Amino acid sequence: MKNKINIILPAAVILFCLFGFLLAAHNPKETNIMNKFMEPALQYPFGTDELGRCVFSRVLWGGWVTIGIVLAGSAIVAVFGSIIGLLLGQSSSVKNLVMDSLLNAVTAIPPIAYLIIFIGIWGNSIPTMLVALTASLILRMIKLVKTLTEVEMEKAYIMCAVSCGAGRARVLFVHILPNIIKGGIIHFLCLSCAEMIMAISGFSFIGLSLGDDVIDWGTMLASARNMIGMRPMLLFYPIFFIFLSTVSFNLLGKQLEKGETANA
Amino acid sequence: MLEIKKLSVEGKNNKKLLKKIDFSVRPGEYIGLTGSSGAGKTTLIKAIMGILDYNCRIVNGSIMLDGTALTDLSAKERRELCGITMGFIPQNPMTAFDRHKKIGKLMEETYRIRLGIPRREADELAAETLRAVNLTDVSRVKASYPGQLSGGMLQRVTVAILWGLKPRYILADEPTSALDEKNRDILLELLKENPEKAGIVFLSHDAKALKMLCKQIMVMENGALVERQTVEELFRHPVNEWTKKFIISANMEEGGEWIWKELKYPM
Repeated sequence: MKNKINIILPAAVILFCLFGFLLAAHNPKETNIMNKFMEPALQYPFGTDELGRCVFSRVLWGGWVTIGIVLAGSAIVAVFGSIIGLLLGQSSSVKNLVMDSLLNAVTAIPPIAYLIIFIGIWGNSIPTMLVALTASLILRMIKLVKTLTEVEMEKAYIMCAVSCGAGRARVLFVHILPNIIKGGIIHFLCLSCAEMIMAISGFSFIGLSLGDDVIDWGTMLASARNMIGMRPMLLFYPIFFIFLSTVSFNLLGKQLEKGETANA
Repeated sequence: MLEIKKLSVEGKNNKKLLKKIDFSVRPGEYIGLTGSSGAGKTTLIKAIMGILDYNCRIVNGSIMLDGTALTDLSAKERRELCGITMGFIPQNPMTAFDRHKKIGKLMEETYRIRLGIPRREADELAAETLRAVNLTDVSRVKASYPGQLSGGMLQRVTVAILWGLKPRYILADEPTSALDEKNRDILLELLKENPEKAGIVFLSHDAKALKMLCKQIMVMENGALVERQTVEELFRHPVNEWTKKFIISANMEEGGEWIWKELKYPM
């Protein structure tokens, strides 16, 4: 039971960060210069920023954008990474040498390189960020799944399944996939979600943003930085949410893996 | 009839694992296979099943099943034979199961897919075969993950799965290694009963089990068949050095003195 709470709690925090914008009372882009730099009050729970915009609403909308990208990206990575990795992992050793070198070469390119190239081509936007993050992560995922599959293929239970007449598809998707999902993929995905949050926020903080009028935690930090002496709390809220969601993903990954080992 | 003709298998770095193995099994026939560890017994069985490790390969010889060469079949055709025509009982039951699948679900799926019977029937068949191997607490076994059962229980489950598939040839790789006396006898009785008249290759180090089950016994050493005799002959006049030792120790266990004197084997 305790184990369940450990999983539900971080999941709930992540869901709140994702869908919290539904609770936002104000339009996050609506400026009201008369109300600038207001202290936290009932109407503005986190106060207002230099243009009189509701910080609480902005943080929640920023969560929708950031966590949305992260979850969409990791879903793509999970599905395509697993399938390609599984298929590569079970094929013969000669092909693997070629694929291995290729994967090693391409994974050596850091995510920021993808991002800069893609922004250069398509300009700042949410899809650009999504593609850049997915492109860099999916290769790591393929590599992980491929290695795990190779390890799993050697195990005796696969041989036994084959000796009972299990086909290739059944071996891969019924036996190997559930085993490696619980034995590494889930953990990797949760950790890379946390990493993606940091990447998105970090990149938009340094100006490689998601677009001109997109709200996210990184841009909030960037503009709050100018007022650090006057209103340090403006910096605190987005940082707190980045922290909260990152920790939640990390805990979720750890707990899911832990629950797994307790079961088996 | 399952015929193995001059079968040679090579492993990593062209190491010869099997050298020109020749034997055949008829339906209803029991053939015991024994020999020191690392002699190639398991490799032989894996080669016949078509589940050799990826770095091993058949370099010569053929495996004939009722006149068809198995080595010429496509992977898919070969797979169709697995389980239904040729069944395999693995050596180590602890690693033989997918640890994230409950036993009941595993058996039900195996029967449903391999025998093409509806879910309900497959479930009943699973319960029936589990009872046949003396796993009487069927509902508990079915609801367990492999990690929650003991080695002996899992070993019986492996036999139960195969029993339901009713293969025409059974290749058993030490099926009694993790069992106590009582359950070993139950398993041997089951194999002896053999209602489908399956041809059985029984690999074991257990002299009593070999005696009980098999008429013919083959001894392997360094990847070659070095001895092949009837049980009585083998236990009376062993030729090979390893066989002599094996029989002496087996007789010591049973308290038999006579063969010890007759052999005069220096210990």
